Amino acid sequence: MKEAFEEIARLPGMIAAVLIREPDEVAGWCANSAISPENLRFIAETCRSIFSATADEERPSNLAAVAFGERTVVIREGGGYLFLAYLDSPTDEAVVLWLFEQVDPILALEGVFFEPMEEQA
Amino acid sequence: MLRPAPHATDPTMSQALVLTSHLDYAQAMREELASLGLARVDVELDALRAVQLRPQAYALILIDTVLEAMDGLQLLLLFRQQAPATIFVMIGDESLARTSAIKNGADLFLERPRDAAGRKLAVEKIGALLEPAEESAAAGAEAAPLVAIADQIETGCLSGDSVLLQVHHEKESGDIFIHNGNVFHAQYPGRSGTAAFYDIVNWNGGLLEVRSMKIHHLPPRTIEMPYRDLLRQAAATDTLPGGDAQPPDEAYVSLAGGTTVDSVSDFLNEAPPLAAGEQPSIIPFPRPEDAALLNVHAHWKVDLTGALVEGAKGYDPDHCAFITSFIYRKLADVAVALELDYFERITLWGQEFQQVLVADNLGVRHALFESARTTETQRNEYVKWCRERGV
Repeated sequence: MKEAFEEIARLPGMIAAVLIREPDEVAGWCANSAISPENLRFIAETCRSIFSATADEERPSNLAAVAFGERTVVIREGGGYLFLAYLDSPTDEAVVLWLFEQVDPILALEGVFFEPMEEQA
Repeated sequence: MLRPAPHATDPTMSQALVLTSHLDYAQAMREELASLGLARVDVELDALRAVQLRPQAYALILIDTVLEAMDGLQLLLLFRQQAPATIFVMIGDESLARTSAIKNGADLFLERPRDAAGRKLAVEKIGALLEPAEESAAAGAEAAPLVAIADQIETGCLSGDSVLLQVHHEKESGDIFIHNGNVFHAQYPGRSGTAAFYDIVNWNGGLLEVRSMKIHHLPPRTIEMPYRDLLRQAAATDTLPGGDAQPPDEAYVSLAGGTTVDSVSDFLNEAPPLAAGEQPSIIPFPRPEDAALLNVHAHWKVDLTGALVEGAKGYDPDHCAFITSFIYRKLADVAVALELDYFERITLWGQEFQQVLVADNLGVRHALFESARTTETQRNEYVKWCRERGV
């Protein structure tokens, strides 16, 4: 998993990323910025509570993009994992699709699979 | 110029920062520095983001002389003023920078290592700097007097003032906002709201360095509980076994009407079941006839106190206001953890519905779209409509 996240760290615009294995274990992480894994886990778990809230509302979602100015947090849940990427870029659907075209094969080599993007976005 | 590092007597308690524009070099140095037994080695590739860091949180900082967006020597000067106890190592490509680096506060100047052997040698020299210093006790000689934070909070609340209490303890620092005599918001890197409040008031047993400042910008409210209850809970938290024990109401939230609930599920369960044939209440606002809203399944707006302001086709106004406020508060926590301004927009994709929340410093608009019939362009039109109207 360490090598997988070294590769994820090299994706253009990647500030940080983390993979949480349910219930709350950090399975892998990387940061090109001074963000601790504990902080990333806190952020991911906080975002997970938003997915839980939408599920409680019977409007479940498992993919989200949060814009903070020019930076974006992308979160994806599925298969017992939660993946979070913190990007130094605004995003649209094309960027989100591109991101997971890069990330999915890397994580798949580690045995981590999400639902296909077309079923999520 | 050599000075004791924070936690110099225990390297496993220390953190280091590598500040450079070169990813490969940063990762290589991170690997090498990890061999010194440091608790964590952070990398920062963006000098502008680095300016937002607290250098005093690090025992050791490596800075490149040349950074993409900033002169490393100037950044060193800035950091040195903020973190006199931190060890600074300047890395450069030419020895000409050595004099400037030392003048600006570097403890050591090293020419950039070109290979693994060079990096190993550099790390050996850096490791020598981290050896425990005899005068390490002098590190805290200039510390400000400690005061009981609970007393400061009580004084602020009883006076009905609006103040910001900046709290410091060793390498931690946090903010407690008191607005019109109420504890309004608390934050420190990685946490906000009541959880941050409980942690802050329990640092060092509640005896802390505190600066009281006038509030210039009021953040979104994350704390609703009366200050006496907060202090009581904080005291209880301090006596719970285990360092990470949390108070039972971490997810304490409030509806506009003042009802408190523990979670979204509890909130939903509290609603009485509808009688047969009974229709849930509908937000009593007309649907605006703007073209941007034609594709919206339902939408509504809340202000920053969580009160519903307007909307259309959203069932159960209280419920709509609650869920929007819940998401807003959670993203306020994320913003604090990332040390960013508050979020501007979130898009949630689901199989049946897509949701878009658009926020500014006055409120949040929340829209539902049917996934099967919605395009990104239509969602963007809604966001544009929100911005034009003002959230």
